[in-house]
Amino acid sequence: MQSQSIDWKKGIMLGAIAGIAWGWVALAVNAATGAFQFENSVLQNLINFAAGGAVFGIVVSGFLSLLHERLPFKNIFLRTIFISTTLWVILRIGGMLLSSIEPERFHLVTAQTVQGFFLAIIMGCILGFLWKIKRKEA
Amino acid sequence: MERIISREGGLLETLLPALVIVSFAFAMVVIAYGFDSIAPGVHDAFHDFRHTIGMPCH
Repeated sequence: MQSQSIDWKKGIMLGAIAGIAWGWVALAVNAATGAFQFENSVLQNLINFAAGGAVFGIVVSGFLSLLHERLPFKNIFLRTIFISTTLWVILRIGGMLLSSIEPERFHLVTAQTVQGFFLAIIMGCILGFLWKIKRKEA
Repeated sequence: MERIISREGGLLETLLPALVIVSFAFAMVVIAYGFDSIAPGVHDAFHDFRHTIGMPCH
């Protein structure tokens, strides 16, 4: 039980670090692709993307800590990519439902959707990398 | 008695991580859809982030 307790706390910490890094990667990717024209300042976005990324990273890492024994893959990268893309797809389906209910408020943009899917894969890669490093250290 | 206490401790250790993750998952949904009715200001604060990760917005 003690080791499980340490594992999920470590998972949350790793998720936060991976999420902050992912948020800034997302910021850079969108600046490069131009899929969305930023409306906020760079400094504001650096903070907001780090905060948003940390929340997403903690959730992905948390689900990994809870479900890692039940996932069909042995490879840590496949596990993290699977969880991050699955969560993104669930959120995206929810977004589609919201868009059908309130079309004037929720608009779907294909370029941003494609970018978001690849960013979900990148999140899985970053988190998988950090988990792999931590496992080697342990 | 010891077994019951041990079970309660085990239950807490299992429930606590789940509760923490559910709380963050709830925050993730609020951020992803910009639900101002739940957290005022979240829509504007994470507007660029939401578009960047491909979530629907106005």
